[in-house]
Amino acid sequence: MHEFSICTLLIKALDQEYDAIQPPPTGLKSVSVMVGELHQIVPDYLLGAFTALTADTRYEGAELKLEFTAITGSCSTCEWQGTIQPPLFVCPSCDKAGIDLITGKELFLQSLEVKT
Amino acid sequence: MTTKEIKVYRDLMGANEEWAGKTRTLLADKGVYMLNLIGSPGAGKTALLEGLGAQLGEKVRFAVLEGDVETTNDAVRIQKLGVPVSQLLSGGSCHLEAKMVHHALLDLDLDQLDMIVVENVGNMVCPAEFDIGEHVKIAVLSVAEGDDKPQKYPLLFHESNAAILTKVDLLPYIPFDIEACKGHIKKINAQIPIFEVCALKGDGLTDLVAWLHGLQG
Repeated sequence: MHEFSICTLLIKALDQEYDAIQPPPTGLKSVSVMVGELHQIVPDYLLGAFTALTADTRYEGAELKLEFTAITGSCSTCEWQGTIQPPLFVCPSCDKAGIDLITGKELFLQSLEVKT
Repeated sequence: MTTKEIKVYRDLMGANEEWAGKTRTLLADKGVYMLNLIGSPGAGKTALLEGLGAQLGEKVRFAVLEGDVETTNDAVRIQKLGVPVSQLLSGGSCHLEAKMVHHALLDLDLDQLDMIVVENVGNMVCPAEFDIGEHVKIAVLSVAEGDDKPQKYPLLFHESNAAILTKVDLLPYIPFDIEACKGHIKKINAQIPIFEVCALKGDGLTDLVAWLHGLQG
């Protein structure tokens, strides 16, 4: 359900961008989305949701391309900086809480490839 | 057929953030504070509200927005307390979104209220991601769920401003290490207060009520 909700947001954003393209395209070939790993998205579920929600629409058959960004952060205690592996939010260097996130929360529509 | 690539960079949460912003402005204008209670189904969120109702209601005028996938059962429970309540049915969605909450707020007489408590749809993943315009998020975890839940759902505890451990009267009967659980929470978010309550008996609610009073300044 998580992936379906996010896919619904994606299609709303896609509609706004697609409708603004001049001259109007004849179809959508692909759409690229950047997903931070903190969203815990299962790729197959999101791809399945996209297929289901675009069936019988002008986007039917378009490819959804996902680009995942790792969770990175810096420690407010020891100034360590890097990629965070589970357990999340715990500094791997000093073992203290207090990680400030740098990346990992992205959820962006990056680009569209349209047919003209 | 030729194709053309168009760079966009549009935040998918943008529309939700916009509605959350409208809600913050509305609440600031009316001087109303909003809490977002998040926890799994059966964590005891509604029972907690029932327990708080009696104590909080003496000093704070509050209303409840009940988020559920189906049924108005929880709203009926809250209504018995004499507290204004609106039921938000998410219709299958696993979380509340800002637009829905905003419209529910417009139906309340905010001039007569000090606080809104939103009980989100039972889920520890999605509600943590969707800003609904609240001032604070509160993670609700029952001791019946297992002491490692903060490790499994770290985002919720990272985003929350407090954690409430419910059903603590069950502790003598179940293998739940409360100190380990609190340690897991503190490792994710060192700053937040952790309250231990048994809503049915009213145990531990006094500290929570005092904290809630303090939030309003």
